[in-house]
Amino acid sequence: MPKKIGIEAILIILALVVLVTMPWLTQETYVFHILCLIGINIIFAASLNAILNIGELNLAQSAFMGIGAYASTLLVTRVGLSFWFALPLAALITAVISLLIGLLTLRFRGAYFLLFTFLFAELIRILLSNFGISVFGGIPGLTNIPRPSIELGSLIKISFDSKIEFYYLILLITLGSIAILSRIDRSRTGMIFWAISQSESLTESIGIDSMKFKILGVAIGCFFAGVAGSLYAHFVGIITPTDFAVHSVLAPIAYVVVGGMGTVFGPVIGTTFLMVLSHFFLRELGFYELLVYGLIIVGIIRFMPEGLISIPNFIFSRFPEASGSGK
Amino acid sequence: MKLLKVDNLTKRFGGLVAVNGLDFYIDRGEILGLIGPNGAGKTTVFNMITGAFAPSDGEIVFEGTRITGFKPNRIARLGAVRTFQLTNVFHEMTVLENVILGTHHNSGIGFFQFLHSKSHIRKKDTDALEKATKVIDFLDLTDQIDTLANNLPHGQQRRLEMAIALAVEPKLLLLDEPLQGMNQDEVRDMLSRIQKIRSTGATILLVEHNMKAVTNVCDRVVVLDFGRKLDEGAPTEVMKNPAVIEAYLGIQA
Repeated sequence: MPKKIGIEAILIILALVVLVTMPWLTQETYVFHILCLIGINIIFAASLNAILNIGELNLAQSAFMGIGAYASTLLVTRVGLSFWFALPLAALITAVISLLIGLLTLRFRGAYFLLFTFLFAELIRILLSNFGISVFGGIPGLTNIPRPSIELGSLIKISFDSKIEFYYLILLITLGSIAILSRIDRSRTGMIFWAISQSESLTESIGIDSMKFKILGVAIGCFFAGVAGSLYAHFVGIITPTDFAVHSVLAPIAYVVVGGMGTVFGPVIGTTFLMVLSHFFLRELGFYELLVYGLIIVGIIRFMPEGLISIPNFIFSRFPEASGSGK
Repeated sequence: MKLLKVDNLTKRFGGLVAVNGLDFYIDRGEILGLIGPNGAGKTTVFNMITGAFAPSDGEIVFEGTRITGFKPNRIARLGAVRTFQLTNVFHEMTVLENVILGTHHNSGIGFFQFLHSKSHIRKKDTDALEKATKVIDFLDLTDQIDTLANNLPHGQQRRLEMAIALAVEPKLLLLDEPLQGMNQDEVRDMLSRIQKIRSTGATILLVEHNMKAVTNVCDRVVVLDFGRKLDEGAPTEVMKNPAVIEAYLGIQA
């Protein structure tokens, strides 16, 4: 076992070195644009996974990302807050709204929860499109969302205008989010989330208030959806209600499943793999791009139902002698 | 002294009266069997006591507290802990993880535990670990301590369920048909374990329709038929009651 952890640590450090030194490897704007989007999607996929951990699939997750995006934008443009306060505040607002929705929806399970969250996602889209147009901008959404900047006195001023600078910001926040989620996952609370997803009745029978923990799980997940939404808004600069409609949760579901559900690093791996694949390698295929993309996803789910994160186990179970020990 | 008292307990599902005006009690330290033929309402009674659903009428008093309509987790925290009719374990966790979760509510680890520092949890976790290993040892699962619950044979899974329940440190242990789906050897093994648990001073409510098996371990039995109490008393006495025999075997020719 300690040997395996060693390999994992080496891989993580290697990945970090590559990520930090990225600007010295390439200067291409497109690369950084995609890397930024990957970071945002990683946070979003991880937030989706956080709710999957309590055993429910939240189809309104992208709606919550939208709440974070709109909240953050309005806090900056209307209230005049700086991005650095707007981001955590927007995430908090998202979490609080999810808490209220959770009180209502978490009474339902499985298909009913799915339907309820589907409806909530549509409700948010329709509200943002048709109500308070002077504030939310209606169907065309909000534009000219400013990029963040740091100003300390008159001497130090960093603006995150370029994609490379924004890349570092997203890298930092993504790593922070994953670190926090991984810490929660390894805590007693994380263990209880996992227990609830396996048997809610048993969790209740040992004196644990499962409803309280489910609401907490949803709030944690939606907090990070809010983080992703805020980053997205200030990175892309334009947000519209359709960006956060129900269909936009589908690709991240694939990221989570392909990477490995119920693990912290699964969504990270899945998002990176699928987004790198589609944005760097499959683009040349043109018409056939989605076909190949779909086949790859189906292939992974068919042969590695536990996701890419199970690759080490997958290899060792096929070639036991390669693991050195064998059984 | 009465640990649990059930008074005029009634459950109606639409027009069907599943349990009708049932009264009984459990004394501290005894094993009470709740028996009766299939469909007599045993499981309904069990579900009302453990909070799975609220009674239509009547009262349940546990240790002087009226628990009628409480949520399952609250009843468990008060000290009435149940097992399930169908095997119910955290199947993707190891035996140890399963039992450690059982110690959770007594561990002093709060809701916002993930905000605490690691050392703070560690200390409380050592207590939980110690408690869990003790319970696992008590049910002879020490060899399987790191085995995934899913990979245990059925008999051991049922023992694990019992270990989880014992880890909660129940004042009253409610067992819902613990002998279900077991072969002769497993039944014998489980009955001896129930007696062993009792010898530690626990109080047990045993719901079972295997009457013969129950007569060996129960101090007292309550016989249910069509949602009403048919008889109550020492198992050997109750077994002689013609009405009980009739309920089980049908009308004698």
